[in-house]
Amino acid sequence: MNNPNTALQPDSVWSPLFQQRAFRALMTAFSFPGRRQPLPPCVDAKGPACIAAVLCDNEVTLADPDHLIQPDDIRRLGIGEASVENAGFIIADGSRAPSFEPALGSLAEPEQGATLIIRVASLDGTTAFPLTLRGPGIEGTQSLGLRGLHDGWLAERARWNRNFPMGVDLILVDDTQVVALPRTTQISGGGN
Amino acid sequence: MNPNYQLTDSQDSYGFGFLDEFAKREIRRVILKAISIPGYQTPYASREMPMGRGFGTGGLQLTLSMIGPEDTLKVIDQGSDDSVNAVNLRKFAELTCPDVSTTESTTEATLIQTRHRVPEIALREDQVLNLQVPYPDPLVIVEPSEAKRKIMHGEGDYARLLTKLYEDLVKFDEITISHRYPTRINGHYVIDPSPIPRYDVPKLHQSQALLLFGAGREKKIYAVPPYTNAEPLVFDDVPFRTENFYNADGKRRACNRCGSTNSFLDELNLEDGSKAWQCSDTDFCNRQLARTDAGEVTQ
Ligand SMILES: [Zn+2]
Repeated sequence: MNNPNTALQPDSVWSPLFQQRAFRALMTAFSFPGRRQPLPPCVDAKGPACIAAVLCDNEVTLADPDHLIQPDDIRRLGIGEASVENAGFIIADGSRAPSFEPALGSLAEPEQGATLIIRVASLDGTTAFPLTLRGPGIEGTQSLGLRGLHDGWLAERARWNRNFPMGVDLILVDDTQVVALPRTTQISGGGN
Repeated sequence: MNPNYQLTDSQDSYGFGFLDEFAKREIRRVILKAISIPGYQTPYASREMPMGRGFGTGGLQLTLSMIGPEDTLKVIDQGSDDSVNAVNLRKFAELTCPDVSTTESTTEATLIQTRHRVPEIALREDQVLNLQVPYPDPLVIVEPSEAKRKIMHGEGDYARLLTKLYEDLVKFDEITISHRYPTRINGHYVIDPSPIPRYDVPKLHQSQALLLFGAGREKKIYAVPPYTNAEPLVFDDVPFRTENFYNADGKRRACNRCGSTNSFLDELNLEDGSKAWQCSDTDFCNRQLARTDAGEVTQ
């Protein structure tokens, strides 16, 4: 049910304090797209599972087509599982091109557009894949280097987000850090 | 809210921040969507709070969903940390969030909850402003149906709202809205920026800090992210004007306490029937006063 246990130490992903701190990292990440934010340390989860523990419970649906979350954690989250096309949250492996159509929301309810939690190899400022970002939350431009994101994601993301306010919001995550790319962020550069 | 509010025994067992973890998680999800869709009134399931709606429950729920032991909280009402409302909300936070520090200093705060004002001192990237909102939808005055308003917002269609403003313009030669000035965010959604004066609207534009708006009764949360355009709705030939505080001689009034001529002033009615003007932002006023006093000492 993802009912955080106050008896747990804050280094557990299921403790309220971890979830509060990790949420603040996420809120800062969404406020400043493209800037890496460290997740607070925790002993019992990594990357995508940390994000799911902060944001997901029985009130939302989640699809994990690449099986990035342990079955025990899925049970603990108590989430409603859904097809990728209908899920509010989708967890995916960034090294493979996406092969699904996420929910984009509607003109009246754009918040129904999915949140994609994408695991990448590393968000550590490598220049192998430099992207230039513009949009709300960015003063001028922001550059982002990362490893392990298939080019297909950027092309598909651009297509999913072509009709604002509909679209999807991306959370890129490696083992310990997070970068948010809300639907308003314009991306240029990269592999092509 | 009862000024001597005490948590009942059963509420005492509530976790940090009063709200249960499911309520916090829902608000957290909604905040991230609100930031992703700047200016969009994102619906959420507002929880019952131990005070009437209209006492800042929307802003309080934002604050309680994000606050942690590392935070320093400032609560202001019409610019003042000392008003009954601000004191009560601050006490409630102190009661339900042990370990959180509170402050009256704008620069020391990490979270600022406010009603009716944006602080005079420009906010930083590491600060968050949570504004209390009574009426979130600027289209209510032209369209009674929420379903239709949602479509108009989605299309960025504000023609009828502009017509309404234009009528004002024809009648009074300027747009007379003093508070809640409709403001377009990132070139799309128009928001009700809450009952802040026109004077504060330019502070929403390209702010370094995240600005969040919580409407508890209407169950909506919306955001102006940092470094985002926030433009008051205007017509090409009529510039947006803020309150200028000129006296009859066209001279800018000064605060009669600190002497500042670059702050938003409250008009006070003195006992002898005369009027005086004073900074509405008490922290700003105290700072100016301290600076003046220090200056006098060293001279
Ligand atoms: Zn003053």
